[in-house]
Amino acid sequence: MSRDNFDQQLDRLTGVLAVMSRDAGVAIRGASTALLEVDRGAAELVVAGDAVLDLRRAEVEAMIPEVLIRHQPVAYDLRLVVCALRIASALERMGDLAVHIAKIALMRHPVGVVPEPALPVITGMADAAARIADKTAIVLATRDRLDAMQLGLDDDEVDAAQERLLSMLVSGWPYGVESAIDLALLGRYYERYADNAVNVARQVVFLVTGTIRL
Amino acid sequence: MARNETDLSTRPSVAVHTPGVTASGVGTDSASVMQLRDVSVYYGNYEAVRGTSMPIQQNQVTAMIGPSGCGKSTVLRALNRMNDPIPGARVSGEVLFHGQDLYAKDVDPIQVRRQIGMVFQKPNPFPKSIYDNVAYGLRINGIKGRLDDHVEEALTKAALWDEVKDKLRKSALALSGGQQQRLCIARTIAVKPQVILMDEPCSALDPIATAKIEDLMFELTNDYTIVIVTHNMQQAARVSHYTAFFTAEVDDQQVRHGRLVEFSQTGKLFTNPADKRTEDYITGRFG
Repeated sequence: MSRDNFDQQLDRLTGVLAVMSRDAGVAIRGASTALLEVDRGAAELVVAGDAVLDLRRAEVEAMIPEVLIRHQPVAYDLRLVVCALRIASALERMGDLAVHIAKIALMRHPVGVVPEPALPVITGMADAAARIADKTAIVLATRDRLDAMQLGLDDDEVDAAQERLLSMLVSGWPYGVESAIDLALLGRYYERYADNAVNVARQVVFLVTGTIRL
Repeated sequence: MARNETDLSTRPSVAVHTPGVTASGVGTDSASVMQLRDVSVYYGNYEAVRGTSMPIQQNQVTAMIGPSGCGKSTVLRALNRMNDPIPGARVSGEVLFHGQDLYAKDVDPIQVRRQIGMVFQKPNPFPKSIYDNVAYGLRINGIKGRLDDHVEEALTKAALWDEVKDKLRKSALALSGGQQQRLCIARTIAVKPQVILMDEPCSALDPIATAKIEDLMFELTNDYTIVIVTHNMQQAARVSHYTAFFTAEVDDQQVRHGRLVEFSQTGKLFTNPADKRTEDYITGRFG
């Protein structure tokens, strides 16, 4: 039984996911640059680039019914196809969240969004998000179960940073309500970005083990 | 039961679980109507299938899949002693039906085949009328009651009645292939067996006739237990609750033997098989 054509289609599918994960990483880095360095050009690039992630997600969604019809995948192949759909969706969402961050930077430009006291915690979240993006791309490429499970730890770091940020905002924040809302949203976007990366990692664990861990 | 053989009609309420095979996801809650315990089938000195242990769950469809020469049809035929007439054929181990060994000395193979019927790859109606095809088994088994009612019941259960009720006296050979196969199923269920064995029942049929038989199998599990051998993995995935994957292994003397590799719930076997050989076969990396 020849699998050449089938394998080519699966390779194309995983190839698109790899590119998407790279793009989601580029997007969050660009958004953080826009935010922390008050860089309008970086923000605009992130917003413009998101259309490509949306297109790639649509591409994955179009490929999957065809793979199902032509090859009736089972076992690992079937899990790969099911996971690809969910992974594409999570990666596209990561791109959207980077856009949200970039748009806050754009909205306030040329004024910076992050006042001095919040800089360490937002920088920490930005660094963690970039690291998580890199690891997501690696996990997608290697499909290493342990690396995938490790991503949860990085996510915990982002969650903890978000809590610190929120407690800062509710205890006499001196920069006004507008600033507090901006920062609360930023914290939320980084946190959701990391959560979606964890979802990708969970799919990889399911792909490799065949069992769903909650 | 009129004869002096082992009573095969009693149904125990206790489930029997067979260890020794990858039986992932197979609970002991649903009763098994049959049990294979370390069953090997020989043709003369040649061991065609070795050491098969698996349950056949009651009112469920169990599919047997695997490459050509893996022994799946041989095992199927061992379930109702259909290999008996082949010179030199012999079975070791136990084939239990409600806990009783079908190969025990006092068991009449005719009685076994009445309780465990078989439908073959090619529809093989008798060159008689549709009615007589179904009534034949009833007559030779001396089944009491109105023959017409039994024939109608069997044809209805086989999802054929509406198509043939106005031409019961016409030759069965005038029916289409799919109808002939459903007639053979009607003939099998007319004598009210407990288990129906199906050896590639759809391989000679077109997709529409195949779909009808598959729907029928689902209906039949209300009353019967079904074991099906199929080359079509999608069919196994569609119709069965449990799947047994067999393969052919070559021993030190370069002799091939059929072997059961994995038995598990069908959903499990096709999404996350436990054995790499299963994975390789069902994904087309082997065979």
